[in-house]
Amino acid sequence: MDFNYKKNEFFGQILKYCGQILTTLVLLLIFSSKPLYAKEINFGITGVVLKEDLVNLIQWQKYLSAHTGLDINLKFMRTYSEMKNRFKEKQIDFAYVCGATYVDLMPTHNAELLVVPLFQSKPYYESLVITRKKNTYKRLDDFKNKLYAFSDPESNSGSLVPQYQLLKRGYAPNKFFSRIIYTYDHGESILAVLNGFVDGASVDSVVYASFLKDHKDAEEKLKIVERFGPYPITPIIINKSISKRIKQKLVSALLQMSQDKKGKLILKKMGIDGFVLPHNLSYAKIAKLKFILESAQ
Amino acid sequence: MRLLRWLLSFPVRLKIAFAIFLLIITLVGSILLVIKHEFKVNGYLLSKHSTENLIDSNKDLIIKLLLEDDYWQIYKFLSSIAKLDFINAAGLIDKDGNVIADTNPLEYKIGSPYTFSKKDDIKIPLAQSGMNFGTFVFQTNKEYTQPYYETIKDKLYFFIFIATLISIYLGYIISARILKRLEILSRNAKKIQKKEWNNLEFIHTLENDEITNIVHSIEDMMKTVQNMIQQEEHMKRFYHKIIEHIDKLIIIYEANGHISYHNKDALSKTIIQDNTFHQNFKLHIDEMQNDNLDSCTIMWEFTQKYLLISRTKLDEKRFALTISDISELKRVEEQRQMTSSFKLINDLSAMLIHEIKNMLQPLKLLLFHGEPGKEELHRADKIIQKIDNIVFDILHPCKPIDFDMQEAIEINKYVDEVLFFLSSLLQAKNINIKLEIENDVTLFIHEEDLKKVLLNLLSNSIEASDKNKNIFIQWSKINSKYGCLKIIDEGHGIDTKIQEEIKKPFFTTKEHGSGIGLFSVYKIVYLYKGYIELDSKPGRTEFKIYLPIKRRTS
Repeated sequence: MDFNYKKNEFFGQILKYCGQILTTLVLLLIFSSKPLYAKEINFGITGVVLKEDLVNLIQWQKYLSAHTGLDINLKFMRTYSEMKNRFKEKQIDFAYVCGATYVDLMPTHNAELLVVPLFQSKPYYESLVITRKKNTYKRLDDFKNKLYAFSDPESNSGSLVPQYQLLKRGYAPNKFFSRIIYTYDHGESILAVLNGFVDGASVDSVVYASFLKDHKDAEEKLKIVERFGPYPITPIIINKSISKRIKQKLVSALLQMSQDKKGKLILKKMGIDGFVLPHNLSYAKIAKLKFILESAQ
Repeated sequence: MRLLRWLLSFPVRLKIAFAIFLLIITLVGSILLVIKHEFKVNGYLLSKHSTENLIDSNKDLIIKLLLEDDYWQIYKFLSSIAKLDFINAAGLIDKDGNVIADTNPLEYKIGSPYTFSKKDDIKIPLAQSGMNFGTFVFQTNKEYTQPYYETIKDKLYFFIFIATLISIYLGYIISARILKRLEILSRNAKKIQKKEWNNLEFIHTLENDEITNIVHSIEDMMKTVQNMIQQEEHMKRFYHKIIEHIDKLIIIYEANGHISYHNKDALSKTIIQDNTFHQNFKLHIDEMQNDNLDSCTIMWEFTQKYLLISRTKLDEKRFALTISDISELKRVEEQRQMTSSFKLINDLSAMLIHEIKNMLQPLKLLLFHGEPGKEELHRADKIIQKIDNIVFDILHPCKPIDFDMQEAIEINKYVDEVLFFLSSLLQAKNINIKLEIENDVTLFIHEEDLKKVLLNLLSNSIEASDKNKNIFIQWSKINSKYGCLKIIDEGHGIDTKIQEEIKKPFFTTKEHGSGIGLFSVYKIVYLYKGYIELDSKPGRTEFKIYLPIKRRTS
């Protein structure tokens, strides 16, 4: 039996290597097929989107490549901190980030808003406090000494807003919960609540809406306890060093998505209506919130 | 119990088939259980080894996640393991026994103390470089091999079904073949009972097993029984023929007098009436029974024939009688006795004449050679007296015996009288007399004859005995007709050569004996229809005098 198991493991390894080789070959094929003149553009993605719908993200990547003529690479960052570092080091050219990340990068690191999504026709979103329907919690205060999930420590809706609300209500955010679980992804925070791993979580309303579309059963098991917002929505930012031509191509492609058949489908799956230019959209509210929290620590 | 009786009443072939069926089912069921158990055990071992390998290969990652407090990733890792077929639930607890993550988070919340259950069958410690980070706890899915078992189960059931059918069929065939042979045996036994020897069946079968051996043994036994029965019947016919033609009436009768068998002898016509004895004959049988006699002779008044009846007890209820017509024998015996008597008289006369002649010779010389003097006359008188005594002795026992005596006499009185008469001789040799007399047994005999018998026998015994010896005198009843007087001495015995001679008159071994004493004893005893038996050897001589103790009727 032991021998058989080892044999299976051995074949598993062989298959794994074969898979890797095949993936490499596919990638080589992709690279070899790209136009020689195309410039590589790295598109950073964090937990502001539902990463579990990888296929849709790849469709988005293809859409953008097709409509810009640019060689766009998707770069997934697990944490907002990592995203910030990579952005600072210019390894990321443009990124779909949290408002709080933009606030951090904007003043000193050449980050500028490219476009902002429209969620329910508005460039705003909310921070939602969610729990299982069976639970009796009515408000954020009820989660005292409970297990609570934050997405990323630097996430606006998934960490900063609830902490700010607790602070406002007279609680010490770092001592309020029995334990804070960081999932680094709004989608996974929702899963943590759904599975009962935590009692509650603070999540992005855009991601929550998108999650419910894909998980019909979740709607029956989850409920929103409190909503905080509205807050300026998670923007797509770009490094100022990127040429205007490329920037223009990207803006154009992103703005046209709501007009395009394929683009519409991608947007629908992402739970947003489309992208618009950030006309005078201010992230000062988030900056203020961050300032208050940092001051309180 | 009723069910058991009902089952046991089934035909043998069904019972054997059912027993084989049960055996196969039990055997196959056991094999199935063993297979199922092996599936479970091996499934568990496979689960254990796989889980251990998984943990081992991901140990560094888990420790890193632990150090980063990334409990969510640990949970996801455990959840991914729990999605494997052979794991139902997975958890990681810290060294203090509190939950770090568990795939059943509603029951095991982070930080809550973990309660181990029996289902936690795999425990793998998480340790590195001597540091203990906690323990993985897994609950295996013991039924995960069930689907693999299910895939072969149907095939197994099919083969069991086929094997069971075959086994029932084989059981039925085997038992039928066994029973067929036993049934032939049973039929043969019935035919033997009916003596239908020619219809016996002999078994020719392919099986060379124990049953066949038994059958052949019984066939041999049947042949032996057949021979024995035929031989017995032959013997039966043979003896029946003998019994039927024998010159005797043979009767088998029961204690109540019912005659169950008799042969066709002519005597049966007068003795047997409607399978019972003739009333008069029955009296003789009853008398024999009362007197405990094995045989007797009667005069059967209906045919005026002497019959010798012998009676034998066959068992508790049945007796056998053999009745012979001995009239002819009686006549021959009477003739022989008459001849014998004439010869005896002749011998006696010759011996008497010779004796007297021998005495007359000196008498003649004394009386007829000159004038006899006083001395000669005295001697002649003695010779004449001696001749007179001899004549008296010879003639006296020959006197007709009066059988019409009314009184029976007791022997005891006459024994004492004779012993008194012989007391001087007894005292001289200091001989001890030992008496064993049954006083209530009386006999019919003249006193003088009895005294003469006692005197002669005891005188001889005393004379034959040495000093200080014993003489035994015994008298007892033998049967309803005879008593036995025994005179036993411890003397030198009588030589076998002369045991026949001593019966004759004038035979004597004594210097001054007349040779008349024992002759007189034999004469008296035979005249009373008694008889004498002599048993003598050195150191012991026994005279048995059988005398009638009942009044003679003829």
